[in-house]
Amino acid sequence: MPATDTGSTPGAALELAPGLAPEPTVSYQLRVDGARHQVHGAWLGASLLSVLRDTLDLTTVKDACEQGRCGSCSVLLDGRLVASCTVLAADAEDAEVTSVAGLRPSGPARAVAAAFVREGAVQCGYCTPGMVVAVTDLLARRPDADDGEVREALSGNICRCTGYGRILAAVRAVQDERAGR
Amino acid sequence: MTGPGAWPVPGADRALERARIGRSAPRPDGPAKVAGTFPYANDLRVPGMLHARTLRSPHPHARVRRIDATAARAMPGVAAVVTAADVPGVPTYGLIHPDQPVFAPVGGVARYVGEPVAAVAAVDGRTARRALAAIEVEYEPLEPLTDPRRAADPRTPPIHPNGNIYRELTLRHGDPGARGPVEVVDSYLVGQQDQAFLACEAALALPAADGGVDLMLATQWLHSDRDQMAACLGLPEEKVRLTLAGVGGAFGGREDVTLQIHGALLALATGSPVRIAYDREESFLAHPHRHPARMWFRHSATRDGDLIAVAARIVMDGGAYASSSPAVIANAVTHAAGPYRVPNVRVDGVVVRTNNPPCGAMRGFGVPQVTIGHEAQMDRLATALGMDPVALRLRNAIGPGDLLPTGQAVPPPLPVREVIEAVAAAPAPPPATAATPARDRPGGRGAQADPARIRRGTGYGVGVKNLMFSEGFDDSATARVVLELDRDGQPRAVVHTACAEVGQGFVTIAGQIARTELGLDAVVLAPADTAVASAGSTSASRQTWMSGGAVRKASVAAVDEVLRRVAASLRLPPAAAATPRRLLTLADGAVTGPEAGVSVGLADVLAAGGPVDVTETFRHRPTHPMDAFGQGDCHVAYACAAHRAVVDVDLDTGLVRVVELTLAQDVGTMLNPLSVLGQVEGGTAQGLGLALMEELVVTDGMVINTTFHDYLLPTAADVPPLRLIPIEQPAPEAPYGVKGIGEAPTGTATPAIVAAIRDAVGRDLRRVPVRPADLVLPPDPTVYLAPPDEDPEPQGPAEPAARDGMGLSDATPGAGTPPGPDQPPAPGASP
Amino acid sequence: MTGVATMRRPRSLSEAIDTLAASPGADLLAGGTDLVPALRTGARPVREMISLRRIVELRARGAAGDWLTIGACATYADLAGWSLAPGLAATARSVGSPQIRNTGTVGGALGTASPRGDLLTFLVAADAGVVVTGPVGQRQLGIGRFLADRHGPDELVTAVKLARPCGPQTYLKIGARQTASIPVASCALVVDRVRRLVRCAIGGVASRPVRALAAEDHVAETADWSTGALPPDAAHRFGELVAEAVTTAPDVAGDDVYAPAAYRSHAAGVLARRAAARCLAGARGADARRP
Ligand SMILES: Cc1cc2nc3c(=O)[nH]c(=O)nc-3n(C[C@H](O)[C@H](O)[C@H](O)COP(=O)(O)OP(=O)(O)OC[C@H]3O[C@@H](n4cnc5c(N)ncnc54)[C@H](O)[C@@H]3O)c2cc1C
Ligand code: FES
Ligand code: FES
Repeated sequence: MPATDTGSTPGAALELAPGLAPEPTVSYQLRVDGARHQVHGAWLGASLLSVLRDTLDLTTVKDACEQGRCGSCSVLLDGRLVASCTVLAADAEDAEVTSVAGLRPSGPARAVAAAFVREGAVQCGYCTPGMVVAVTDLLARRPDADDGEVREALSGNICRCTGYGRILAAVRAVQDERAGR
Repeated sequence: MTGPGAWPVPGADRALERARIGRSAPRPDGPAKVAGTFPYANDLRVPGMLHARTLRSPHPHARVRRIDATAARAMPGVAAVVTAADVPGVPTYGLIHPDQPVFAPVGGVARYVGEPVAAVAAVDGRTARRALAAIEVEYEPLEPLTDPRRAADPRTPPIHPNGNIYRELTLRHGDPGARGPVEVVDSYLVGQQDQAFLACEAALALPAADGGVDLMLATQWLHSDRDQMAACLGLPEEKVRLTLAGVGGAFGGREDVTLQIHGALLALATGSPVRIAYDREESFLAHPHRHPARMWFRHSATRDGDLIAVAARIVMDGGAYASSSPAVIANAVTHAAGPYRVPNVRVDGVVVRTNNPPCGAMRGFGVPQVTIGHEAQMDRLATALGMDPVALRLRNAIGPGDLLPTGQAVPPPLPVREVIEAVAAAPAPPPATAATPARDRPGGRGAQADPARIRRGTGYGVGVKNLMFSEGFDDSATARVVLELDRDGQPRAVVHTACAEVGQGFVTIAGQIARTELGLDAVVLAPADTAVASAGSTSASRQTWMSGGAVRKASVAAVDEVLRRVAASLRLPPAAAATPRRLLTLADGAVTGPEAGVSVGLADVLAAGGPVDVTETFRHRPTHPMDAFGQGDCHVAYACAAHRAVVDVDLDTGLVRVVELTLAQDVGTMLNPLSVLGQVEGGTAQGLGLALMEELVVTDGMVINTTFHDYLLPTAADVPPLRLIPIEQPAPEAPYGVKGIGEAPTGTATPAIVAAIRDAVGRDLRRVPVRPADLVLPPDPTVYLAPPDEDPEPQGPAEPAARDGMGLSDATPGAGTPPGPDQPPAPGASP
Repeated sequence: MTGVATMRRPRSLSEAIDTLAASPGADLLAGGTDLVPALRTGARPVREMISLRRIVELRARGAAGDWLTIGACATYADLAGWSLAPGLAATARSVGSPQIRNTGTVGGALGTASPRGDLLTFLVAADAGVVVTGPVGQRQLGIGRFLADRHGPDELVTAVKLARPCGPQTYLKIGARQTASIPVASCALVVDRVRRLVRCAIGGVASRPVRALAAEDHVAETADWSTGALPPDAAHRFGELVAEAVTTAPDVAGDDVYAPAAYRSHAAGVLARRAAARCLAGARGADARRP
């Protein structure tokens, strides 16, 4: 029995979970950053984000809203930038998931990461892994994006610390580097 | 902190080694953070750990009649359920006054939506969540008190044994009845902002063999958490050990205890490690927010524009529990006249208890609210006088030696005039034209604003913010520096403080200071924990000054010890041995003294005499409580800032785009210019958020928008480039002349943007955040605190009316009077 | 603990239809941007799940004769640059953030049918057809019918059909910040210079997009259809009529965290006037083909 009082219940924290029937679970494989992971008996409704973090302990992917709004959980799904909290994990079975850790071997990501540190784009750093994925994706598609385009393209990645100034500076630094400026 | 998984950042390590104060040293934790390997509190996992969740009251005000957790406890996978009945120590806690129950007890009252009632530990998060649903709680809803004005009325029945008034303050300076020939009067409303640090609250609690508990967590003040936890857990302080885990932002929102005691209780109850972590919705409900405020102001001036008097009345809604409300209202009251010379000041401030969400510390700590008010008033006064708003501000700018409304003389330096002049002189950005892409017009590509209907506006916001803790609080910070040999026999320094690195960059600065003082590149920072004495809170713009000061002091003492050892080995005459710094210097890992003909490696000194281990505590000049008229040297230091905002407003839709922000700021000495820039850019963006979009909407005690879908944060597309003009005037009392820099610009960005919007649309805007509807629909009359021509306080000689409802009495009806941890007096400032 | 519900991953449309027939009441999963967060909060229960991601035929998009066909699994990103459908492309570009545009689909937007959905508003103005397919084959519904009746439990949306543009079209949106915001109010305008009419839909203001019929008639009557231009005061009047249509719409939304209702109708009028100026400016209006 749920709480006897049925007031309005804002917030998941206050919400009453659905009945107490056993929850549907599934098992599948995920390919993350080139490695295969077996997921055993995960809740069917689990997001890719929660399976990465809570089942596979891949905490390089961050969570901050779990509603697709902040971008801290950004990964590439078969090369497309997505918010992993909006992707069903069980549906990513045959996809290639790339987190910031998986970007390593490629050149631009390394330059982006170095520029983030050098230019002061990292403060608390919680937005950073998702931000690095998004910036790397942007620069791969639009190497010459101007400031306005960069700002718009990063609008799915919230940073609460930096006010974005140093992040923009880091993006510019990578662009300059690559253009040999 | 560069863990094994960190990316190699070319050049970063070398730059770091060379980084002394004054240079833009990169963050030592940067490589791990970009690689995603930096361990935040919510990344911590240990084998066998349980997952905790919290059951919260859905009512703004309700008596808890019954809690039955039998079914939940019986569920497979559930390890423990704890309620108020399981709290072994003091049933309540709080930053200043312990008035908040750990859990709302049966027979007691839950006072806000989201107040914890029980917590569950289970094998996984979903089981814990399902167990919450199986806990039966019977509430008897009570009438909520949600209007702060009604709460301030002494006739309103108290909703807590401590009463409905957290603190009422009266400030009288000069002749409180003084008036001038030119007057402007108005009321202003500031909405409730959330800190919205990006990483939600999290901790890992580990039961210890000695019956105590170890907690790894994200917080702003380890020792304050520790003291409150120990009292509620009924444990001696040494059995509650806290270690800082990675903190994903704070901004004041981690000053209060939220999940700490719950996690520890569950770990102790189960004997297992317990991970307790909030999601965003729970985070919105769990931590105190920025106080919403209603403010009435009357500014009086001569016809030449000299301020004669400022009268103000401030009502802040503190929500259900005290948190830092008593200190926040002190800041609001003492800063209400702004950075101006005002001979006669009369301010009445009250912060009240309601059944709204608790409010506490957020960057600026009571000052941003009044800055919004006094800056709006200065613009209106300029209009009434037919004066330029910059000229009016310059004419009245306060400076060192001038008296503040508290009667305190402004401690030098305070370059108010310089910051105003600097922003006013900065070149203006080019106007929007038909060629401006839609993306860069108000409303962006979606709205396709008509260039002919865009109006440019320029506005100024000038403010002053106190630094560090106030009102006689014994504010201290401790650092330990150990000089030792590493495994390769090379000398290195280990710096240990309890200072919470929340993103602000203390780890960078601490290393820079230690390197500079020790003349040594190999400096490592030990994790912050309670094994060393308190660093105080990472708030109130205080850590660079305070913990930075402590690191410097300890480093200096460590050098002295090294030199003493060398001097002793030289068998110098006692006079020379007593002052070895005259003869010897430690630099680049060696002690040299050309006069004495000495050159000895630090490694040799340490090998011979063992490690040097010193601990030093730093204190700033003491502050004093205010008297009954709000007079006294209650703040230790101040920093000022001025923003100029340039906005474009779409007159048809009321959409606003901030085009450019210029900030001139009193920065003391910049120990790390890049870090200064990052801090002020971040603070400015939060001020922009408050100006345009950030508001927790609370209706009848219910928070309506607890997600990032509807609590909107500025994105990269909303925040324009910031031009920073640092005004470097070293503060003589501070280590290296530093000043805290994170708060002042948060307070000035908001009024500057609002002023720019006013300038563009020609409307009086009294409510923040400014919504598009405020610019295009008929004005909303409900925004007034009092009709603008009516003085809410009776005239005549004022009686100091200090009501302090915060006795140390019990917060839980019928539970007896808990002794309570020995709580410090109100720290007067925060993040 | 293994419950009954599980994950189905059909690789073709026919397989999907068979799967759906075998498990009525199953949830269709496209991008997941609506469904996955709703499962987490418990707003939606977890049921049998049929993923549509692997059905290549549902991602197709193309032109044939007078019609454009967009597969249900086309994402916003797929549509954002489509020159054949400028209004649809503008709509797609206005949705969410890059992450959401890369994930969210046309079928998902129709499945959720959020009153604030950008796509829905445009589809209403475009008088789109919704193709739903079930065990007995496929049928096409007008968008209005679809929103009223939805589809059967054994059917899914397989495509959306739009007439090839016969004139300028645009989609304008007011959000709560510069970008990455749901619409506070939006306006889709589609001009058909062949049939000499316009269709206008307003989103974010009521429980479904509002058609402004009187306003549309006003344009049809006052426009100079030889040039496709509207007299200056007619655009103004068009805006007024749209605002009126919003105020008088059934189920008009009340005040909320984003805006008071009065602002929405005001904003709708402004956007409509703006859309008319862009799409009905005569020769210059051709620009609006590339909003
Ligand atoms: C952060 C964020 C921002 C957003 N911003 C916007 C915005 O600005 N504008 C806007 O309009 N929307 C916005 N959305 C909403 C969302 O992205 C869209 O509605 C999207 O189109 C949903 O598509 P999907 O493929 O992700 O749907 P899913 O989540 O996969 O499905 C949604 C619903 O549709 C059903 N469904 C899916 N496919 C079909 C089908 N073929 N036939 C029948 N039913 C089907 C599902 O069963 C489910 O009920 C936003 C969402 C998020 C999370
Ligand atoms: S956690 Fe996925 S977008 Fe915020
Ligand atoms: S650095 Fe803290 S959120 Fe971006």
